[in-house]
Amino acid sequence: MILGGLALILLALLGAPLFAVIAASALWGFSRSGVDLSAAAIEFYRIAEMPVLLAIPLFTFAGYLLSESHAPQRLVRLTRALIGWVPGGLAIVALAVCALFTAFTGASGVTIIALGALLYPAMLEDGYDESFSLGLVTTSGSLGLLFAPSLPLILYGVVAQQSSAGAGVSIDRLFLAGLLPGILMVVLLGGYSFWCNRRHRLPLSAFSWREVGTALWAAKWELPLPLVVLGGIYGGIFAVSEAAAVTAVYVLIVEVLILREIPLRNLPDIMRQSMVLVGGILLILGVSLASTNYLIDAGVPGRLFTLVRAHVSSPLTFLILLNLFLLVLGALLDIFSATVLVVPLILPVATGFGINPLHLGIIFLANMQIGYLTPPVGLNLFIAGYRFKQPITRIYWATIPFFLILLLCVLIITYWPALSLLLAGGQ
Amino acid sequence: MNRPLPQFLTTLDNLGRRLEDALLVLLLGGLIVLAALQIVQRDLFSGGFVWSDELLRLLVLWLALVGAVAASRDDNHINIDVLSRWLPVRLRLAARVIVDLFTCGLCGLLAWHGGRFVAGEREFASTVLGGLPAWPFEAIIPVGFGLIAWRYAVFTARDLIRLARGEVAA
Repeated sequence: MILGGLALILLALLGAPLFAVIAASALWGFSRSGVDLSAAAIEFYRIAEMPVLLAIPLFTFAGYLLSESHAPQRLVRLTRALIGWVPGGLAIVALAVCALFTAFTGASGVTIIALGALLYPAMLEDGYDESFSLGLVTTSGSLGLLFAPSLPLILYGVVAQQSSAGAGVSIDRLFLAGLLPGILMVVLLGGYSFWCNRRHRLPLSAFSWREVGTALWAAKWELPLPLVVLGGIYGGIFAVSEAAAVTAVYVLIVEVLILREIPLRNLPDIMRQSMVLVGGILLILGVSLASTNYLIDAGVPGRLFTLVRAHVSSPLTFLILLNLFLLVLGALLDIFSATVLVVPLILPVATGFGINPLHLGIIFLANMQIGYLTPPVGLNLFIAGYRFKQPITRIYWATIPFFLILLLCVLIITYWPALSLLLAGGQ
Repeated sequence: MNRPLPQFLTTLDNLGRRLEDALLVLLLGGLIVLAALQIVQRDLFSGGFVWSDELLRLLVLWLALVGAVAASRDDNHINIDVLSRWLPVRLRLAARVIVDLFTCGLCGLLAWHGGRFVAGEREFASTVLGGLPAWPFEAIIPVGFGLIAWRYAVFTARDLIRLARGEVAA
């Protein structure tokens, strides 16, 4: 039993695809408890029984399209016109734009590639410290994870809904829950950037209404997008998956037909790239439905709760331990695998301690966001290293101050439930 | 990347890639059009086709598996891979053989049991979309896993050949 588990972990560490490792554990569990192995296929087929999954390919495709268009440039120009005159303004521009953009691209690393390449040279040119710029751009790659309609938020909702403890978690309430904690992160990081560069007076661009007007006009097509998504969902016009369809169609028409920034012949390749990512995520989700089903049948979440309860009595201690556990988890696993594997286990335990499942989702994802910046697997470190041709260790040191600020945000988010629950109304 | 392999495998691989690409474009295109149509219909005619919800969900299943097969062409699945970086090159190649063989065997197993599930559905004559037999729609599960198994079998063969020839890992 233990030997088999260790062998699977070893295979995972050697680079075996995680879906295969998860599927192996599910098949193994089924065969030990005498369940027909075709149960794994039946569980996998549940992918076709969750209407909300429709949102995942549609939002992902829209995000890829946006990153291939000139929307990032227009967004940077507009934000720069609005706040470029503040000391540290460009840094704050970077944070705000990346957060908005990541919400649509789902923190898959696309942000650093599409926006980092634009912002990093601009910051150096404006005389920002190299290490500061590198750290900021790397950190920004996963900022915005908590903003609708990010992929990790949707996936957490999907996984939570599979569990009886998370039955009340709807995706639209999750979107609301992430709003204030996400803003907290942007504000604290922005404050730090302002403080770091408070003496950095030099090439501050002068504020000009004319430039604001031109930039606004240039971005006229992209600006309504967050309104369409959020307004549509909370105005009760669209379900989440319908908002995804509207977004995909809208972005497709604007970037390909109206602005013509993406030639039609590039479209198949963008479709393929985005669907390869979607296939990878849904595959892991599908096999984890099987492994989770086995774990629940075997009563593992219940036993886990009894075990934790025997050693931990107060919710506060539980939350401290949870944070430590999630930080380590985020350093080892990517956000999608971590969500499908761990949420079904910790959700019943956390609700047992009286923690709201919406609040748990935000705690979970905020911790995972830090995982993007921690070695050994921190995705952003590698993408930034690759993109800006810098050694990983250098990028790691550059991100440490930002890492600490995000850690502070995680603590605030964890111990101040109202921040997550105020808008979502789940007190 | 399949240089040490016979020519027909490379040809087959290229053909497979093109087929997958075409299928992904068709499926995603269909998904977007159908999802958009559904909203239009709901708003204009207060009620779409009864089967469009179900078709959309089946399209997502197909996209998931065809996308996963396409991800396996370059061994592009989500993984951790922290140990192999520290291994000597020869040992790294040997570890690759083990990992690829494991993935191939596991997907083969999933394809086999998926096939049993589909055969069972055919026997029970389950239906989707208001009367169509369900099994051809579900057959993507064994077919998808079977194709992923095939890809990893090719990877295993390639790495074994490299190992035998004394080459280093790519």
